[in-house]
Amino acid sequence: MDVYFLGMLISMICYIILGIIVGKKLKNANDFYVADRNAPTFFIVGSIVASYIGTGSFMGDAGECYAGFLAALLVIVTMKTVGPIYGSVFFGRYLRRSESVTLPQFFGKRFNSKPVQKLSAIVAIISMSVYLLSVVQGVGTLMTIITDVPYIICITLIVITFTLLTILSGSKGVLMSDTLMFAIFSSMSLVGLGIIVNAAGGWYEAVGSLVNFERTPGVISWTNNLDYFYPTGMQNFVWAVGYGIVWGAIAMVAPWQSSRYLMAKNEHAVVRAGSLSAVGLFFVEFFVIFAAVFVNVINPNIETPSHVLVWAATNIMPTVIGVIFVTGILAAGISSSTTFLSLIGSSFSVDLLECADEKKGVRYARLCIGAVGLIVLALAITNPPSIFWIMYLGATVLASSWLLVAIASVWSKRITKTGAFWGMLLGCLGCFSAKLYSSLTGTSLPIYLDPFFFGVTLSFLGILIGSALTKVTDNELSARASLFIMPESEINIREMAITKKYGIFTIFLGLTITAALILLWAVPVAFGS
Amino acid sequence: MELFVSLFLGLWVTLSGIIITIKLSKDFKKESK
Repeated sequence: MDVYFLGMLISMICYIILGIIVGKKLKNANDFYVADRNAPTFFIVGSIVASYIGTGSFMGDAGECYAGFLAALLVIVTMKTVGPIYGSVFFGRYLRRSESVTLPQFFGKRFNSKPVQKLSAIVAIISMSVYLLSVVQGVGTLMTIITDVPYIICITLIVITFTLLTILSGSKGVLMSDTLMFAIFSSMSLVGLGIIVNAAGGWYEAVGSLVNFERTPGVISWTNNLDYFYPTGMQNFVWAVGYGIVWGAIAMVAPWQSSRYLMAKNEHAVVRAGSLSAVGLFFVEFFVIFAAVFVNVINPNIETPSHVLVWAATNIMPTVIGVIFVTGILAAGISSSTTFLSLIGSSFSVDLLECADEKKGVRYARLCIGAVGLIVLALAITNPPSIFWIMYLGATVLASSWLLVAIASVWSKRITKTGAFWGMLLGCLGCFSAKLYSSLTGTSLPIYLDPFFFGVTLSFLGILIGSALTKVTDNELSARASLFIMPESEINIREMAITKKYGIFTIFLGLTITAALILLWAVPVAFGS
Repeated sequence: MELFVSLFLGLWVTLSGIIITIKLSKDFKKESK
């Protein structure tokens, strides 16, 4: 048996065993849905980063950078880092105070509206299913190209693994496995980068070789490769800034990110996890995209760019490291999938069926998880693998629909249930229809007409007009007011002092990123040219 | 231009740290009363 296949198979068996062990210790429905609201900071960080980073990063983003789009990805990766920082402080801790089980339930409580709860649940379930499908296809493709085992077998093994893990252990198991997988793929991204840099002759030598790289001009410069996407550096930069904002918004309010705050043991864990997740999100992706671009120095002729790190794992890294590295990519894909699936199950049971009986609710959630696993398996087998653009579609539709409503649900006194409903609906339809129009007509839309911004604009109009035509009710006013009352149990002067230090830590993170980008990218590029 | 992009990105994250530090200081001051 192929050693890479064996490594991945063993890791999948370990995840299922973990699911069985955690599943046996589940006490009640709260344990299944929100890990008993008792998760420490480290588990929240692990789950936020592991849910965000999937095969899209290790294959899609890595491929883009190998092909000459490093600077754009660097902009997106750094800009989105602020998502969990703002998300935890301006949304996450208020979300936790609502004591909701799911985000749609939070919207339902906040606006005292079942239609808002159900609409947000439907948008979340559809977009997470699309996103789940793209992640599954990515992991299946990865496993197939490494092991030569047929795609159908790989995809079946993967779907069985994450579906069983989620059904058995719920959110508690997902948090634990996410953290374990986060530890594996983040450490391997650093080790992988070290080995690739060494093989490329050292960091500054590798950058120097790429400054005047004839095969892919602009591969490491701020302009990017001008044959790749837009024909000027400024257009590529503006596009990347736009998408940095989009992905920052996703990292701020997307359910697979902000729902983690519902599981935190207290508000301090929420804020601290936001800052620490920013560190994880930035550095893992920084390691991945630089590792990918440096492979150009060693082999500039890889036919499929998205396979660049797989090629590096199987050709540059020692076999043992290579096996753990690809297991890490697999872990990144599985960890995202378990989070999506557990959220889909929870939303189906809590928001759509509104099960009053706890045991029945968990049973329906488990049935839904199993059914979605089967549907995704069927679609993944029949559809051709595609990572980059499909991934953007699922997440951007959700961000367009939820972003403004989520922020306004906490920070606006004027938004009404009608405004929230129309804001969500128009944001979703606007983004989806613009993407559909662009795909069907083959039109390349300018950045200001990008589906996300188009959807957000319509969402804003929906909120504005819907809220202007209706009045805020007493129930909505009191629901919002309750979000601003810090629970007595959270008022602890010592804990507050420690949490405040995380804000200062985030300032240092920004300064560290500035220094890293200047010393590791701007200066060597300037001296190499 | 790489230097400008690096400074822009670094300051983008630094600014978020400044904003949440001010926000947390104000909130905790009010909430601990």
